[in-house]
Amino acid sequence: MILKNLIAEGTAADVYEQDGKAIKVFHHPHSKTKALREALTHARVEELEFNFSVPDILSIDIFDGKWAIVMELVEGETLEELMERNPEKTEQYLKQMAQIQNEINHIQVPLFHEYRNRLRRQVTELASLDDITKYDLLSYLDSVKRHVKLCHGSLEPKNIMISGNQVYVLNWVNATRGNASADAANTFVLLALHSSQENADQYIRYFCAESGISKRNVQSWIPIVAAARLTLGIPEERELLTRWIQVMDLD
Amino acid sequence: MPANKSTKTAGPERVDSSESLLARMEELKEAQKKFASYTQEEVDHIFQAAAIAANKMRIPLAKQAVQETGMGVVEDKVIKNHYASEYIYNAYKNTKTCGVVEEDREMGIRKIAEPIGVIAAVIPTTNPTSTAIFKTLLALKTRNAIIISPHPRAKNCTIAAAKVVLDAAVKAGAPEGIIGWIDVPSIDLTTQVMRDADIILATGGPGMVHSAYSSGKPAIGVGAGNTPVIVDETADVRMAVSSIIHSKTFDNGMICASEQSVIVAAPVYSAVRDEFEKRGCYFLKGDELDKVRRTILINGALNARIVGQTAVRIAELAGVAVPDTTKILIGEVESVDPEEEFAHEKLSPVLAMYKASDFDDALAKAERLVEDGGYGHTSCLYCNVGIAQEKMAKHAAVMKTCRILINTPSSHGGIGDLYNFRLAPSLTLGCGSWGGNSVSENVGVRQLLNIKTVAERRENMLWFRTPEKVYFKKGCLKVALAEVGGVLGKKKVFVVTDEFLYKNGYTKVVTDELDRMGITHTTFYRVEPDPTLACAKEGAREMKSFEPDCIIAVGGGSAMDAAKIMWVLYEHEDVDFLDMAMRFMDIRKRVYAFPKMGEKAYFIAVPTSSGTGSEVTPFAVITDEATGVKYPLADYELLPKMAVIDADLMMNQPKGLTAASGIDALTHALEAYASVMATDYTDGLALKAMKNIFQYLPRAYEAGAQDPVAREKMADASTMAGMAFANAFLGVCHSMAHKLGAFHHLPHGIANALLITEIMRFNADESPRKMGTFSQYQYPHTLERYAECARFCGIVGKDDEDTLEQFIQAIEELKAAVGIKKTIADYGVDEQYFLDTLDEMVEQAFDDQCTGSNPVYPLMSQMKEMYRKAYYGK
Repeated sequence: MILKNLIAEGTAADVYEQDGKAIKVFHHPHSKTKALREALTHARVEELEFNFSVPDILSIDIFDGKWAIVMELVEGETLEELMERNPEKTEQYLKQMAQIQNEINHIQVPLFHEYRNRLRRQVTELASLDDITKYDLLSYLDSVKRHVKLCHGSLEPKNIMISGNQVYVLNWVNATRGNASADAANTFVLLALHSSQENADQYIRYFCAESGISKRNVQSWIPIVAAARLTLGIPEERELLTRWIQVMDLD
Repeated sequence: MPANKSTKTAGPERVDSSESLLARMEELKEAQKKFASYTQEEVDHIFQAAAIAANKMRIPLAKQAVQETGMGVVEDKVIKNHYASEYIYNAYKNTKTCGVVEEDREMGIRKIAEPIGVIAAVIPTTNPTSTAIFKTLLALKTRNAIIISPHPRAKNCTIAAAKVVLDAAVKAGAPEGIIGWIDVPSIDLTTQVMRDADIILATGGPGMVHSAYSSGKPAIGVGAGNTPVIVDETADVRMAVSSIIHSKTFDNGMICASEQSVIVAAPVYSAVRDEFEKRGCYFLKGDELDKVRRTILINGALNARIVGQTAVRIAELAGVAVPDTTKILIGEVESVDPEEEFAHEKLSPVLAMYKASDFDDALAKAERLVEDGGYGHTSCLYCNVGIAQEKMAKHAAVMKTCRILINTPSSHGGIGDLYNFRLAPSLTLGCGSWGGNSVSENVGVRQLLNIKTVAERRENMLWFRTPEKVYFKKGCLKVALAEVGGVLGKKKVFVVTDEFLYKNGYTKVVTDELDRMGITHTTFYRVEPDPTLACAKEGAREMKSFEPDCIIAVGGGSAMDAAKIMWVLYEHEDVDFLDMAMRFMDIRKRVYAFPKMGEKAYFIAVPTSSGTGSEVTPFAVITDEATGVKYPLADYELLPKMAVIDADLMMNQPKGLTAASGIDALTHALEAYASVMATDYTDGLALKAMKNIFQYLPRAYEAGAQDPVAREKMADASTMAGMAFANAFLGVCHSMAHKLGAFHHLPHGIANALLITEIMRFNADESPRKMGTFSQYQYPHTLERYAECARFCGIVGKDDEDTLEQFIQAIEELKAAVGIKKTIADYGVDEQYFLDTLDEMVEQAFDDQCTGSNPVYPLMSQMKEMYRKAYYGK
């Protein structure tokens, strides 16, 4: 079968629309593990109860020798699109996202992969980082209390879709268990990179007010999630992320 | 100089992997094992040699540290290295750290210092060489091995410092390999070293300190500060400002105790500001403040590039032009909230300055700043100590910091021995639980030793307490009373008795004699058996209006007990009976301090029956008629000052009373003799009391007043038994008799009589379930003790068991001879009611004050069984 209606492109997979379904097709033919793991994580998220919706996985399939996940197609506008269209409502959208993040973080998910392990691996493998900075980042990471809260891992406006009066949270590929403050710090970094520094700063305030978590706690994760983000090697992000890593744990 | 005891163990060339670290740890353990056998003299020699070597290298090490880390000031690091070697040596040169360090032979206590093993030392980048010198010297003084985990930013200089100390120590005789380090530091190796060491001494960032505490090993981890300084209006402004500059610029602000914020009282604010400017500090203006804010913190975290830099360099990074002699950048700010960048710890010569409207405002600001990253570390106050004592006290009460420095530069002051010579010198400053640390003091050798305490068994100190005067012999009452008017010079006497004795002229003997001496008196005669609190209160009210300086209790146990309570209420109106009746394990360690007695009135007890011994005991029982609760009070304050044992008052005791109180006295003597607290002093009294009772109780019972000798011997027996149990206490027989009497309305003497032989068999068990706890009580020996009693009373069997049997037989015969029935059932106690209340009675009896001195510690099930046997007689 040939898929024609391409609706989104990504580094690892593209998404097509077909017969009212969204089909995520992985580029690489050897993406079996990747596809099944993502499907498993997503399926686990589907089983959880939220005030928002999560699109259903309908099947796992192979198209033209490539692994694919067939999902419910959700149509609507993302928060990113809405923020662009209604800049005066930015505050409302950011607050809504903070509520969603807080709701996500309130669920305990001991069976998910650990966020910390992923961050640790990313920091360790980051070739562009000197040993001294790695030492400081890892000693912080090792010292933080371990939580088992659900972390979205990529929560940002483009992954929240409003469809009629339904709110959908999309793209759970990076969902893990870990610390809410780390998940929020990650969103802060994504906002600063993809939206604006001002929106990122506002978002931390809204999130802290919503969750009761201290700003200092969220900020303490920024160097680590920034280092982890650096592993993607996106050139235009490099300068800002590098600056954010150069901090010192007080002696 | 001691010989080098070590032989080289082959260790790895470099520690750069898990395997090589493992090998180094083995080497350290071996070396430490040898080191553990060194004497104090050898250790002190090594300690001195190492301190000298480190001191000599202070300049090269300082240079290397600045060069490698790019932070701090060479000249100041020289001071730190100098301090770490000289001051630490001086502080501990005479401290005993090996073997017996403390001994008290009389109390049988000895303290022995032992090394802990291998210390894992985490060294910070801010003070690398000085902290390495400090920790390695402490390790040598305490015979520990130490492995240094340097920060990668300062690894070479840290290792160089450790090597200087190691080489000198080994040259002075320390085992080779007693100090080690990680050559290529990584988080994995740091984690491994913390896991494999015996204790962790972590100085560094909060992350490292948390890791140390979560490693599962004992850890001494100390953390960050955010020192606020208050400059009070009474402060010497010149001294305050120069002290702050001196301290804040020291090593470019990298000491964790360094000042971060200055809170200045409004009246001296401009003077302080002028003085800072005059001495070369720069006040940031307009947008310069924001430029510096953005430079010092990144997303709330300290910018690594400003740490330990000069004020001029930081200004340059921020794009602010300042004179090149600028010492400190000062931001005048208002918010103490963490949102304010200047409110943070800055590890650099950047300072926040606040204006405080008054001292309370200054305190509130300082408190908030401490809360934000400085919990438990250090705070500072400048004031005139002569006039600001109240402010100092308030400051000390409010600050949650483990060091509170007055008129002192905090960098130099916090590490101790520079501006105060009783604050221990240290480069590792504990922040207490507030800072998440296990120590709150400046860390020294004490935290790196295991102290073994050798405690020898010692006997508990005992005393013998009895009234200051005990008159005895038939007819002694008049002689005793003569003393009340004469020697004691008492003017107003309050007599307490019961109605029967009053109406039958027993107190007339007393009052006539008082009249003859012209002493005013009054008599309270409404005491009833089992006296109530209401009765005691009534008596106390009368005492209060009569205001006696002497109380004479005439009667049996009830009158004497009631009079004791009236005495308490008369002297101390507001006492709480629940508190006074609180159980104790040791009367000298009791929680409740009994009020002092005898300040208003002198207490004289005159018994008219021979049994309770209350005239010489520190006990009294009172019943709260409203609740039915009995308060058994015991304290030597309740001991009468004088007892008068005059058999003339006892001649006409009824037969029943003679029998019951006579057997009561016998159980007093038997239980005092078997008590774990029995002594030679009480034994003599108890034995003689028993012998008198065996010999004279049947005669006194049969002949009464016709046999005055028997009456007098019984009077003496009762008082001697009283003295014995006033000091040796009683046992389970009384515990159980108290409750049996209370539950089933049996006279106290009868209740004891029904139980005593059962309890003697129980106590005589050579292998009891549990023995009583008392230092002097070495092993179960009650069988032997009862046999001694028996033989003293003339009963001798073929061995101890047989003697006990015959003794018990004799007691049963004595009971029978004085008309005491055999079982509880015989006294008409309803079987069903007895069984229904049995469990409750058992529990209360178990909890009775008398249980604790019994030679066998009873189980409740055992007490229940004894009650049953006493009920059914089998």
